[in-house]
Amino acid sequence: MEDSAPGPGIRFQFTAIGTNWTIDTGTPMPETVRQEILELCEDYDKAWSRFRADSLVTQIARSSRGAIYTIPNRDIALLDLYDKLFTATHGALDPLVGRDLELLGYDAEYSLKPDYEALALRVQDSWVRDVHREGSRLITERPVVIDAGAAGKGYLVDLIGQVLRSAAIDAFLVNGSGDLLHSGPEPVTVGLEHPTREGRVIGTVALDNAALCASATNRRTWGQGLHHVLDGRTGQPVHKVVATWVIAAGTATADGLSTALFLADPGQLEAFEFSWVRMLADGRVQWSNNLPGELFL
Amino acid sequence: MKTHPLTRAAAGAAASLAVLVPLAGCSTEDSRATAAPSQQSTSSPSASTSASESTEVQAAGYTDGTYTARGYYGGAPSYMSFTVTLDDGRITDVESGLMPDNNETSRGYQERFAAALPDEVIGKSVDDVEVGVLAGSSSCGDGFNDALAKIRDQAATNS
Repeated sequence: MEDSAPGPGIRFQFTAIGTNWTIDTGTPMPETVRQEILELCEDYDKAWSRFRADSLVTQIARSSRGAIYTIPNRDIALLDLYDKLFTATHGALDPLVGRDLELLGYDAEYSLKPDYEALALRVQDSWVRDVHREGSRLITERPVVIDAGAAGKGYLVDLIGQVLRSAAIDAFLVNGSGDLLHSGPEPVTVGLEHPTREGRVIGTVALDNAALCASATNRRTWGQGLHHVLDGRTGQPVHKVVATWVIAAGTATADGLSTALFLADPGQLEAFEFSWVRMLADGRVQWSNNLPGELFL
Repeated sequence: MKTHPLTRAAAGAAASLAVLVPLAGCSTEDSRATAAPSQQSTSSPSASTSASESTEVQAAGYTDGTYTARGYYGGAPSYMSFTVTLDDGRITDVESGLMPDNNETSRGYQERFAAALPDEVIGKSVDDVEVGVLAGSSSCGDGFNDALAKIRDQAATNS
Protein backbone atom coordinates (compact mmCIF):
# COMPACT_ATOMS: atom_id res chain seq x y z
CA MET A 1 0.00 0.00 0.00
CA GLU A 2 1.39 3.38 -1.01
CA ASP A 3 2.21 5.83 1.69
CA SER A 4 -0.51 8.40 1.67
CA ALA A 5 1.20 11.24 3.45
CA PRO A 6 0.76 14.64 1.96
CA GLY A 7 4.18 16.09 1.30
CA PRO A 8 7.36 14.18 2.15
CA GLY A 9 5.40 11.73 4.25
CA ILE A 10 6.13 12.04 7.93
CA ARG A 11 4.21 9.50 9.95
CA PHE A 12 3.39 9.54 13.63
CA GLN A 13 2.17 6.16 14.79
CA PHE A 14 0.62 5.50 18.20
CA THR A 15 -1.98 3.55 20.14
CA ALA A 16 -4.99 5.27 21.64
CA ILE A 17 -8.49 4.31 22.81
CA GLY A 18 -7.56 0.68 22.31
CA THR A 19 -6.57 0.82 18.68
CA ASN A 20 -3.87 1.91 16.24
CA TRP A 21 -3.51 5.40 14.84
CA THR A 22 -1.35 7.11 12.25
CA ILE A 23 -1.03 10.78 11.48
CA ASP A 24 0.73 11.70 8.26
CA THR A 25 1.87 15.29 7.95
CA GLY A 26 3.60 17.41 5.34
CA THR A 27 5.86 19.04 7.88
CA PRO A 28 7.42 17.33 10.88
CA MET A 29 5.29 17.32 13.98
CA PRO A 30 7.05 18.92 16.95
CA GLU A 31 7.41 16.70 19.99
CA THR A 32 5.17 19.07 21.97
CA VAL A 33 2.35 18.52 19.49
CA ARG A 34 2.78 14.75 19.68
CA GLN A 35 2.59 14.95 23.46
CA GLU A 36 -0.47 17.14 23.31
CA ILE A 37 -2.20 14.59 21.07
CA LEU A 38 -1.30 11.65 23.31
CA GLU A 39 -2.56 13.48 26.40
CA LEU A 40 -5.76 14.44 24.62
CA CYS A 41 -6.39 10.81 23.68
CA GLU A 42 -5.76 9.62 27.23
CA ASP A 43 -8.04 12.27 28.69
CA TYR A 44 -10.74 11.43 26.18
CA ASP A 45 -10.44 7.73 26.89
CA LYS A 46 -10.76 8.46 30.58
CA ALA A 47 -14.12 10.07 29.94
CA TRP A 48 -15.70 7.77 27.36
CA SER A 49 -14.22 4.28 27.58
CA ARG A 50 -16.49 1.49 28.71
CA PHE A 51 -13.44 -0.66 29.20
CA ARG A 52 -11.60 1.03 32.03
CA ALA A 53 -12.61 1.10 35.66
CA ASP A 54 -11.59 4.74 36.17
CA SER A 55 -13.66 6.29 33.37
CA LEU A 56 -16.62 8.61 33.75
CA VAL A 57 -18.74 6.21 31.72
CA THR A 58 -17.91 3.35 34.11
CA GLN A 59 -18.65 5.58 37.07
CA ILE A 60 -22.10 6.35 35.63
CA ALA A 61 -22.66 2.67 34.83
CA ARG A 62 -21.64 1.27 38.21
CA SER A 63 -23.20 3.84 40.49
CA SER A 64 -25.79 2.51 42.90
CA ARG A 65 -28.25 5.20 41.93
CA GLY A 66 -28.66 8.22 39.64
CA ALA A 67 -26.54 11.32 40.05
CA ILE A 68 -25.35 14.52 38.42
CA TYR A 69 -22.14 14.21 36.42
CA THR A 70 -20.01 16.72 34.57
CA ILE A 71 -18.64 15.92 31.15
CA PRO A 72 -15.71 17.86 29.65
CA ASN A 73 -16.87 21.08 27.94
CA ARG A 74 -14.77 19.93 25.04
CA ASP A 75 -17.19 17.01 24.49
CA ILE A 76 -20.58 18.73 24.70
CA ALA A 77 -20.80 18.75 20.91
CA LEU A 78 -20.41 14.95 20.88
CA LEU A 79 -23.57 14.56 22.94
CA ASP A 80 -25.32 17.19 20.82
CA LEU A 81 -24.50 15.03 17.82
CA TYR A 82 -25.97 11.99 19.55
CA ASP A 83 -29.15 13.92 20.22
CA LYS A 84 -29.39 14.70 16.52
CA LEU A 85 -28.66 11.13 15.45
CA PHE A 86 -31.14 9.73 17.96
CA THR A 87 -33.87 11.97 16.59
CA ALA A 88 -33.08 11.29 12.95
CA THR A 89 -33.08 7.51 13.46
CA HIS A 90 -36.18 7.58 15.70
CA GLY A 91 -34.20 6.16 18.58
CA ALA A 92 -32.49 3.35 16.66
CA LEU A 93 -29.11 5.00 17.27
CA ASP A 94 -28.93 5.29 21.02
CA PRO A 95 -25.78 5.64 23.17
CA LEU A 96 -27.52 3.73 25.94
CA VAL A 97 -27.12 0.43 24.08
CA GLY A 98 -24.02 0.04 26.26
CA ARG A 99 -25.93 -2.19 28.67
CA ASP A 100 -27.29 -4.30 25.83
CA LEU A 101 -23.77 -4.68 24.45
CA GLU A 102 -22.61 -5.83 27.86
CA LEU A 103 -25.40 -8.38 28.14
CA LEU A 104 -24.63 -9.69 24.68
CA GLY A 105 -21.06 -10.24 25.82
CA TYR A 106 -19.24 -7.12 24.64
CA ASP A 107 -18.54 -6.03 28.19
CA ALA A 108 -15.54 -4.46 29.92
CA GLU A 109 -14.02 -7.89 30.48
CA TYR A 110 -14.67 -8.95 26.86
CA SER A 111 -16.41 -12.04 28.15
CA LEU A 112 -18.03 -12.35 24.71
CA LYS A 113 -20.70 -14.59 26.18
CA PRO A 114 -24.35 -13.53 26.07
CA ASP A 115 -26.18 -13.50 29.38
CA TYR A 116 -29.44 -14.95 28.08
CA GLU A 117 -31.25 -14.82 31.41
CA ALA A 118 -30.57 -11.13 31.86
CA LEU A 119 -31.35 -10.45 28.21
CA ALA A 120 -34.77 -12.02 28.63
CA LEU A 121 -35.54 -9.55 31.41
CA ARG A 122 -33.94 -6.55 29.71
CA VAL A 123 -35.99 -3.41 29.10
CA GLN A 124 -34.21 -0.94 26.83
CA ASP A 125 -32.97 2.37 28.16
CA SER A 126 -33.68 5.46 26.12
CA TRP A 127 -31.27 8.34 25.59
CA VAL A 128 -33.97 10.99 25.65
CA ARG A 129 -35.82 9.56 28.60
CA ASP A 130 -33.11 8.19 30.87
CA VAL A 131 -30.40 10.82 30.54
CA HIS A 132 -31.07 14.50 31.08
CA ARG A 133 -28.52 16.98 29.83
CA GLU A 134 -27.91 20.63 30.52
CA GLY A 135 -24.71 21.75 28.79
CA SER A 136 -21.95 19.78 30.44
CA ARG A 137 -24.18 18.44 33.22
CA LEU A 138 -25.49 14.95 32.73
CA ILE A 139 -28.20 13.75 35.08
CA THR A 140 -29.26 10.16 35.53
CA GLU A 141 -31.87 8.55 37.74
CA ARG A 142 -30.25 5.14 37.84
CA PRO A 143 -27.14 3.47 36.43
CA VAL A 144 -26.96 3.54 32.63
CA VAL A 145 -24.16 2.44 30.29
CA ILE A 146 -23.15 4.97 27.67
CA ASP A 147 -21.51 3.46 24.62
CA ALA A 148 -19.77 6.14 22.58
CA GLY A 149 -18.89 3.74 19.78
CA ALA A 150 -21.16 5.27 17.16
CA ALA A 151 -19.38 8.62 16.87
CA GLY A 152 -16.80 8.69 19.65
CA LYS A 153 -13.71 7.81 17.64
CA GLY A 154 -14.64 10.23 14.87
CA TYR A 155 -15.06 12.98 17.43
CA LEU A 156 -11.57 12.33 18.74
CA VAL A 157 -10.22 12.49 15.19
CA ASP A 158 -11.73 15.96 14.87
CA LEU A 159 -10.19 17.03 18.18
CA ILE A 160 -6.80 15.86 16.93
CA GLY A 161 -7.36 17.83 13.73
CA GLN A 162 -7.95 20.93 15.83
CA VAL A 163 -4.67 20.38 17.71
CA LEU A 164 -2.81 20.09 14.41
CA ARG A 165 -4.34 23.24 12.97
CA SER A 166 -3.63 25.18 16.16
CA ALA A 167 -0.01 24.14 15.70
CA ALA A 168 -0.12 25.54 12.15
CA ILE A 169 -0.01 22.05 10.61
CA ASP A 170 -2.48 22.28 7.75
CA ALA A 171 -1.55 19.33 5.60
CA PHE A 172 -2.35 16.05 7.32
CA LEU A 173 -4.13 12.73 7.15
CA VAL A 174 -5.35 11.45 10.51
CA ASN A 175 -6.19 7.75 10.42
CA GLY A 176 -7.90 6.35 13.51
CA SER A 177 -7.95 2.74 12.28
CA GLY A 178 -10.18 3.48 9.35
CA ASP A 179 -11.70 6.82 10.39
CA LEU A 180 -9.96 9.38 8.22
CA LEU A 181 -9.60 13.14 8.27
CA HIS A 182 -7.79 14.82 5.40
CA SER A 183 -6.50 18.36 5.14
CA GLY A 184 -4.20 19.80 2.52
CA PRO A 185 -3.74 20.82 -1.09
CA GLU A 186 -3.71 17.33 -2.61
CA PRO A 187 -6.68 14.98 -2.19
CA VAL A 188 -6.00 11.39 -1.26
CA THR A 189 -7.57 8.40 -2.99
CA VAL A 190 -9.24 6.08 -0.51
CA GLY A 191 -9.98 2.46 -1.28
CA LEU A 192 -13.21 1.11 0.19
CA GLU A 193 -12.19 -2.21 1.64
CA HIS A 194 -14.42 -5.13 0.75
CA PRO A 195 -15.85 -6.33 4.06
CA THR A 196 -15.56 -10.03 3.29
CA ARG A 197 -12.99 -10.38 0.52
CA GLU A 198 -9.48 -9.79 1.74
CA GLY A 199 -7.25 -7.60 -0.37
CA ARG A 200 -10.06 -6.17 -2.43
CA VAL A 201 -11.85 -2.84 -2.63
CA ILE A 202 -15.38 -2.21 -3.82
CA GLY A 203 -14.54 1.27 -5.01
CA THR A 204 -12.39 4.34 -4.54
CA VAL A 205 -13.25 7.86 -3.48
CA ALA A 206 -11.37 11.12 -3.51
CA LEU A 207 -10.99 12.51 -0.02
CA ASP A 208 -10.39 16.24 -0.27
CA ASN A 209 -10.36 18.19 2.98
CA ALA A 210 -13.06 16.03 4.42
CA ALA A 211 -13.59 13.01 6.65
CA LEU A 212 -14.38 9.42 5.73
CA CYS A 213 -15.55 6.71 8.10
CA ALA A 214 -16.23 3.07 7.40
CA SER A 215 -18.15 0.53 9.41
CA ALA A 216 -18.81 -3.18 8.94
CA THR A 217 -20.47 -5.67 11.21
CA ASN A 218 -18.52 -8.72 10.17
CA ARG A 219 -15.29 -7.46 11.70
CA ARG A 220 -16.37 -7.26 15.30
CA THR A 221 -18.47 -10.35 15.69
CA TRP A 222 -18.19 -12.86 18.48
CA GLY A 223 -20.92 -15.33 17.80
CA GLN A 224 -23.76 -16.21 15.49
CA GLY A 225 -25.39 -12.91 14.62
CA LEU A 226 -23.60 -11.15 17.48
CA HIS A 227 -21.95 -7.89 16.55
CA HIS A 228 -21.62 -4.41 17.90
CA VAL A 229 -24.22 -2.43 15.95
CA LEU A 230 -27.41 -2.55 17.98
CA ASP A 231 -30.81 -1.05 17.38
CA GLY A 232 -31.48 1.03 20.47
CA ARG A 233 -35.19 0.26 20.38
CA THR A 234 -34.72 -3.50 20.61
CA GLY A 235 -31.19 -3.94 21.90
CA GLN A 236 -30.60 -6.40 19.05
CA PRO A 237 -27.84 -6.51 16.44
CA VAL A 238 -29.11 -5.45 13.05
CA HIS A 239 -28.82 -7.66 10.00
CA LYS A 240 -30.01 -5.86 6.90
CA VAL A 241 -26.89 -3.73 6.34
CA VAL A 242 -23.38 -5.19 6.52
CA ALA A 243 -21.04 -2.32 5.62
CA THR A 244 -21.18 1.45 5.29
CA TRP A 245 -18.91 4.31 4.24
CA VAL A 246 -19.63 7.98 4.79
CA ILE A 247 -17.89 11.17 3.67
CA ALA A 248 -18.72 14.37 5.53
CA ALA A 249 -17.03 17.62 6.50
CA GLY A 250 -16.33 16.41 10.05
CA THR A 251 -15.24 13.00 11.29
CA ALA A 252 -17.69 12.87 14.18
CA THR A 253 -20.55 13.32 11.73
CA ALA A 254 -19.09 10.81 9.27
CA ASP A 255 -18.59 8.29 12.07
CA GLY A 256 -22.08 8.75 13.50
CA LEU A 257 -23.66 8.49 10.08
CA SER A 258 -21.66 5.39 9.19
CA THR A 259 -23.43 3.78 12.14
CA ALA A 260 -26.77 5.44 11.43
CA LEU A 261 -26.87 3.90 7.95
CA PHE A 262 -27.17 0.48 9.60
CA LEU A 263 -30.15 1.69 11.58
CA ALA A 264 -32.06 4.00 9.28
CA ASP A 265 -32.57 4.72 5.62
CA PRO A 266 -30.63 7.54 4.00
CA GLY A 267 -33.84 9.48 3.51
CA GLN A 268 -34.14 9.84 7.28
CA LEU A 269 -30.73 11.50 7.50
CA GLU A 270 -31.42 14.53 5.36
CA ALA A 271 -30.55 16.91 8.20
CA PHE A 272 -26.90 16.03 7.50
CA GLU A 273 -24.65 16.85 4.54
CA PHE A 274 -22.83 13.73 3.40
CA SER A 275 -22.20 11.21 0.68
CA TRP A 276 -22.28 7.49 1.31
CA VAL A 277 -22.11 3.89 0.22
CA ARG A 278 -23.67 0.92 1.91
CA MET A 279 -23.70 -2.77 1.31
CA LEU A 280 -26.71 -4.85 2.27
CA ALA A 281 -26.75 -8.45 3.44
CA ASP A 282 -28.59 -9.50 0.29
CA GLY A 283 -25.72 -8.32 -1.87
CA ARG A 284 -27.18 -5.01 -3.00
CA VAL A 285 -24.95 -1.96 -2.93
CA GLN A 286 -26.47 1.50 -2.59
CA TRP A 287 -24.75 4.84 -2.91
CA SER A 288 -25.57 8.52 -2.97
CA ASN A 289 -25.65 10.40 -6.26
CA ASN A 290 -23.05 12.82 -4.97
CA LEU A 291 -20.39 10.21 -4.21
CA PRO A 292 -16.99 11.60 -5.27
CA GLY A 293 -15.65 8.34 -6.56
CA GLU A 294 -16.34 5.17 -8.45
CA LEU A 295 -17.55 1.76 -7.44
CA PHE A 296 -16.43 -1.51 -8.98
CA LEU A 297 -19.69 -3.40 -9.08
CA MET B 1 -38.14 7.29 -12.95
CA LYS B 2 -40.12 5.84 -15.79
CA THR B 3 -43.02 7.85 -17.14
CA HIS B 4 -45.83 6.41 -19.13
CA PRO B 5 -47.57 8.11 -22.02
CA LEU B 6 -51.10 9.35 -21.72
CA THR B 7 -53.66 6.63 -21.50
CA ARG B 8 -57.42 6.83 -21.23
CA ALA B 9 -57.42 5.48 -17.69
CA ALA B 10 -54.82 7.98 -16.64
CA ALA B 11 -56.80 10.83 -18.16
CA GLY B 12 -59.89 9.69 -16.32
CA ALA B 13 -58.13 9.34 -13.04
CA ALA B 14 -56.45 12.70 -13.44
CA ALA B 15 -59.79 14.37 -14.04
CA SER B 16 -61.24 12.82 -10.93
CA LEU B 17 -58.53 14.05 -8.61
CA ALA B 18 -60.07 16.47 -6.19
CA VAL B 19 -57.16 18.83 -5.77
CA LEU B 20 -54.55 20.03 -8.18
CA VAL B 21 -51.66 22.07 -6.89
CA PRO B 22 -49.35 24.27 -8.95
CA LEU B 23 -45.96 22.79 -9.63
CA ALA B 24 -43.22 25.13 -8.51
CA GLY B 25 -40.07 23.30 -9.65
CA CYS B 26 -40.19 20.53 -12.18
CA SER B 27 -39.28 17.67 -9.87
CA THR B 28 -42.29 15.47 -9.27
CA GLU B 29 -40.56 13.57 -6.54
CA ASP B 30 -40.19 16.71 -4.49
CA SER B 31 -43.78 17.71 -4.89
CA ARG B 32 -45.90 17.41 -1.86
CA ALA B 33 -49.14 17.97 -3.67
CA THR B 34 -52.00 16.28 -1.96
CA ALA B 35 -54.66 14.35 -3.70
CA ALA B 36 -57.70 12.50 -2.60
CA PRO B 37 -56.50 9.24 -1.11
CA SER B 38 -57.82 5.86 -2.15
CA GLN B 39 -58.89 6.95 -5.56
CA GLN B 40 -59.22 4.00 -7.82
CA SER B 41 -57.59 4.36 -11.16
CA THR B 42 -60.75 4.08 -13.20
CA SER B 43 -62.50 6.55 -15.39
CA SER B 44 -64.86 8.78 -13.52
CA PRO B 45 -68.44 9.02 -14.80
CA SER B 46 -67.94 12.54 -16.04
CA ALA B 47 -64.92 11.75 -18.17
CA SER B 48 -65.51 10.71 -21.70
CA THR B 49 -64.61 7.11 -22.36
CA SER B 50 -63.87 7.73 -25.97
CA ALA B 51 -60.45 8.97 -26.84
CA SER B 52 -60.21 12.69 -26.68
CA GLU B 53 -57.42 15.14 -26.80
CA SER B 54 -58.59 17.20 -23.88
CA THR B 55 -60.79 16.74 -20.86
CA GLU B 56 -62.76 19.39 -19.11
CA VAL B 57 -61.50 20.10 -15.65
CA GLN B 58 -64.16 19.66 -13.00
CA ALA B 59 -63.10 22.37 -10.63
CA ALA B 60 -63.32 25.83 -12.10
CA GLY B 61 -60.84 28.65 -11.82
CA TYR B 62 -57.48 27.01 -12.47
CA THR B 63 -54.99 29.21 -14.17
CA ASP B 64 -53.14 27.73 -17.08
CA GLY B 65 -49.99 25.92 -16.24
CA THR B 66 -48.54 22.59 -15.31
CA TYR B 67 -49.81 20.85 -12.22
CA THR B 68 -48.89 17.71 -10.44
CA ALA B 69 -50.75 15.60 -7.99
CA ARG B 70 -50.63 12.15 -6.50
CA GLY B 71 -53.38 9.64 -6.63
CA TYR B 72 -53.20 6.90 -4.06
CA TYR B 73 -54.83 3.62 -4.72
CA GLY B 74 -54.78 0.02 -3.86
CA GLY B 75 -52.24 -1.17 -1.32
CA ALA B 76 -50.51 1.31 0.95
CA PRO B 77 -47.20 2.13 -0.70
CA SER B 78 -48.41 2.47 -4.26
CA TYR B 79 -49.36 5.70 -5.83
CA MET B 80 -49.43 7.27 -9.21
CA SER B 81 -48.17 10.72 -9.87
CA PHE B 82 -49.89 12.83 -12.49
CA THR B 83 -48.56 15.93 -14.13
CA VAL B 84 -51.26 17.74 -16.05
CA THR B 85 -51.03 20.77 -18.25
CA LEU B 86 -53.97 23.12 -18.25
CA ASP B 87 -54.68 25.42 -21.09
CA ASP B 88 -57.74 27.57 -21.01
CA GLY B 89 -59.39 25.35 -18.44
CA ARG B 90 -58.73 22.17 -20.36
CA ILE B 91 -56.22 19.45 -19.66
CA THR B 92 -54.08 19.39 -22.73
CA ASP B 93 -51.48 16.96 -21.54
CA VAL B 94 -51.15 14.35 -18.85
CA GLU B 95 -48.08 12.50 -17.86
CA SER B 96 -48.31 9.77 -15.32
CA GLY B 97 -45.59 8.01 -13.47
CA LEU B 98 -45.77 4.88 -11.42
CA MET B 99 -43.62 5.45 -8.36
CA PRO B 100 -41.56 2.62 -6.98
CA ASP B 101 -42.25 1.59 -3.42
CA ASN B 102 -39.01 2.88 -1.99
CA ASN B 103 -38.74 6.25 -3.58
CA GLU B 104 -35.74 7.76 -1.88
CA THR B 105 -34.97 10.20 -4.64
CA SER B 106 -35.15 13.23 -2.40
CA ARG B 107 -31.79 12.09 -1.01
CA GLY B 108 -30.89 10.71 -4.37
CA TYR B 109 -29.41 7.29 -4.40
CA GLN B 110 -28.67 4.58 -6.80
CA GLU B 111 -28.76 0.92 -6.24
CA ARG B 112 -27.12 -2.04 -7.73
CA PHE B 113 -28.93 -5.28 -7.41
CA ALA B 114 -27.35 -8.59 -6.78
CA ALA B 115 -29.06 -11.73 -5.74
CA ALA B 116 -26.70 -12.96 -3.13
CA LEU B 117 -24.33 -12.25 -0.30
CA PRO B 118 -21.82 -9.39 -0.35
CA ASP B 119 -19.26 -11.94 -1.51
CA GLU B 120 -20.85 -11.58 -4.90
CA VAL B 121 -19.61 -8.03 -5.09
CA ILE B 122 -16.18 -8.77 -6.47
CA GLY B 123 -14.60 -5.34 -6.44
CA LYS B 124 -10.97 -4.98 -7.47
CA SER B 125 -7.73 -6.11 -5.98
CA VAL B 126 -5.86 -3.41 -4.09
CA ASP B 127 -2.93 -4.19 -6.34
CA ASP B 128 -4.92 -3.07 -9.35
CA VAL B 129 -5.96 0.32 -8.02
CA GLU B 130 -3.99 3.38 -7.01
CA VAL B 131 -5.04 4.13 -3.49
CA GLY B 132 -3.32 6.13 -0.83
CA VAL B 133 -5.15 4.59 2.08
CA LEU B 134 -7.78 1.95 2.79
CA ALA B 135 -11.01 2.44 4.65
CA GLY B 136 -12.63 -0.61 6.12
CA SER B 137 -14.34 -0.92 9.42
CA SER B 138 -12.14 -0.17 12.38
CA SER B 139 -9.76 -2.88 13.27
CA CYS B 140 -10.90 -4.23 16.59
CA GLY B 141 -9.20 -3.08 19.72
CA ASP B 142 -6.49 -5.29 21.12
CA GLY B 143 -8.64 -6.32 24.05
CA PHE B 144 -11.32 -7.61 21.78
CA ASN B 145 -8.92 -9.47 19.53
CA ASP B 146 -7.25 -11.15 22.49
CA ALA B 147 -10.56 -12.21 23.94
CA LEU B 148 -11.74 -13.54 20.63
CA ALA B 149 -8.56 -15.53 20.22
CA LYS B 150 -9.00 -17.04 23.70
CA ILE B 151 -12.56 -18.03 22.98
CA ARG B 152 -11.61 -19.67 19.74
CA ASP B 153 -8.89 -21.62 21.50
CA GLN B 154 -11.33 -22.73 24.14
CA ALA B 155 -13.86 -23.76 21.57
CA ALA B 156 -11.23 -25.75 19.75
CA THR B 157 -10.12 -27.63 22.86
CA ASN B 158 -13.68 -28.20 24.08
CA SER B 159 -14.94 -29.66 20.86
